[in-house]
Amino acid sequence: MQTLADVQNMLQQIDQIEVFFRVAMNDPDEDAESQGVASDMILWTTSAREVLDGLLADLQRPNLTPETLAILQKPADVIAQQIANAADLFDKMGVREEVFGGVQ
Amino acid sequence: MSIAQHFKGFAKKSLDELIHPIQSVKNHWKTEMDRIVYWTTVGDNAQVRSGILAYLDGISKVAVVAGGIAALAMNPVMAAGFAHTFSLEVIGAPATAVAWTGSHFLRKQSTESILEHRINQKMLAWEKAKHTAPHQQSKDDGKAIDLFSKNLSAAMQFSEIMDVSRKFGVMGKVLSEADQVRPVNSLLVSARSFNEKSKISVAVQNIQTKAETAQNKFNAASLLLAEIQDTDLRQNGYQKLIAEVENVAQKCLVIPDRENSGKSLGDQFLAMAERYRKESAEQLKPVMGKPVSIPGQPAAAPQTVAGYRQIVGQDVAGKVEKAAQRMAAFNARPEVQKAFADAAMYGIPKDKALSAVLANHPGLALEYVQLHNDIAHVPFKAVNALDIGLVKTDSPEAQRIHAGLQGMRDQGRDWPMSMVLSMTQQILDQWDQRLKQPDTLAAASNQTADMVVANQPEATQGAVAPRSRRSVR
Repeated sequence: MQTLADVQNMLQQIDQIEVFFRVAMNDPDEDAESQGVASDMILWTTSAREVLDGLLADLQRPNLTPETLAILQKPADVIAQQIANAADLFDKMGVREEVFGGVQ
Repeated sequence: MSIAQHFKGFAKKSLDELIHPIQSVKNHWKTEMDRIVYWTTVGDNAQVRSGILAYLDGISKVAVVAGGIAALAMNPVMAAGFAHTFSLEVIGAPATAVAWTGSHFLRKQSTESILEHRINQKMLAWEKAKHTAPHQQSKDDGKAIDLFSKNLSAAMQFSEIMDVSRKFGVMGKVLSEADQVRPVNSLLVSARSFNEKSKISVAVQNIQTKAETAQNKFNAASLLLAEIQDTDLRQNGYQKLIAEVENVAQKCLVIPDRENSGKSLGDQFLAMAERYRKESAEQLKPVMGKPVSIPGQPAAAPQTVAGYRQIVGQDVAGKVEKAAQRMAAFNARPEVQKAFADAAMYGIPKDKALSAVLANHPGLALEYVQLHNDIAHVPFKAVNALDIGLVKTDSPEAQRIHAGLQGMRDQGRDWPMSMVLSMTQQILDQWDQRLKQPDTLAAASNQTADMVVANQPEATQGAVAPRSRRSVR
């Protein structure tokens, strides 16, 4: 179950990930395939941010039932797992610190 | 490092994983929407608004993710088209109707919040004034404004109920017929054709009951307005009240009034609007205005409304100019200048070049985010000052604000993911529209303010000019 603070933290991480891929997308040292993948990743971060923004607003609405909350939070749970997966991959690439700046 | 090696397929898989939970969210809100007819007639109106807005959020989420998936397989242009098609055709006509009504609610909320903002701001000024120059009059005005605001807000809910009824309820079917200016009797024929006569009857009855409540609230608000001594506030209040009553009248012109056969509820509201207009004209005859105390100023030297307006205008103009200057200073940083130069040299967009520089300079990025946060609210502050009549469109302060906003727009033109640019442009457009309209409100209240100045002792007038150059803060 994601709290408001969790969602805000996830949004920050999504921003950090997006910055990494935006730089890569425009980096002439990256090959074309990597630039394409970076572009795809930005689509994912954009979508994830949209969902999290919506959830942030939803969580602040009055009179939400527990059932509604559970339904609303499911996408955020999925994104949380996806961010963790991305972090693992950044680890393998040895750039986790560069991406998250040690604040994850 | 190899991004392709590690992340290939990650984005598509991730977006696929999001489809199902987001579809659940959409389905959830769709189910909730089915309850709107019930809410409309017997439920809490706040629930309706909440449900519609949330439903709209659900639609946008689905459309965005669908667009993202399409983009992976195709290209961004097709993705945008896919998202659009998905939101309109898969969700279908109901979504369009919901979107229409949702946008109306947003506008209504915006109107309501502007009114509340106006009144709250005035009340804040009165509250502060009471600390520096306590006098009974401001307390009385504060109370009257508070009650006026509450009554008007309550009455305005009726207008929202009518909107929902028109779009979603059984009334919607009847009223859509009525929109074609059919006689009231034919409504019942239409009702039979829908086999929903009893439901319509109940809905009409409920609406009539709520209309009576709204009429009482409007009347209460009108009585409270008469108690407000400040001419500027009273004029604002009457304008809002009359506009809202006429708005409601338009929406219920075809609903029969139980008590007055042959008439409609709309006629009742139109009569109310006419009465308020007369009251307003009578009440707004120029009167000797009372001096207004300015927060932070000595109680012994009261200000006029005109002086207050000037101080606020200068304060806002200063903020806008300062924001533009800070943006210019940031753009003049060597790192930023180099990014722009590189962009020109390599033919890449400036915002992307700046984005890359920010990513490589955490300190600069932090400064950028901080600056963005500091200035993001400034355009709204400027347009609010104009909107609530605190700054006249033809005043020197307005010209300074306008120039400052243009400066902000120009300086933010090449900023990555900048909300400032779009907001500022939007507000400048609104401003241009506003300039085309006569500034009757400000002119009228200025006339009153001038009378105040003219009727004040010389010593007080002398004190106004130098202090009006000082900031509110």
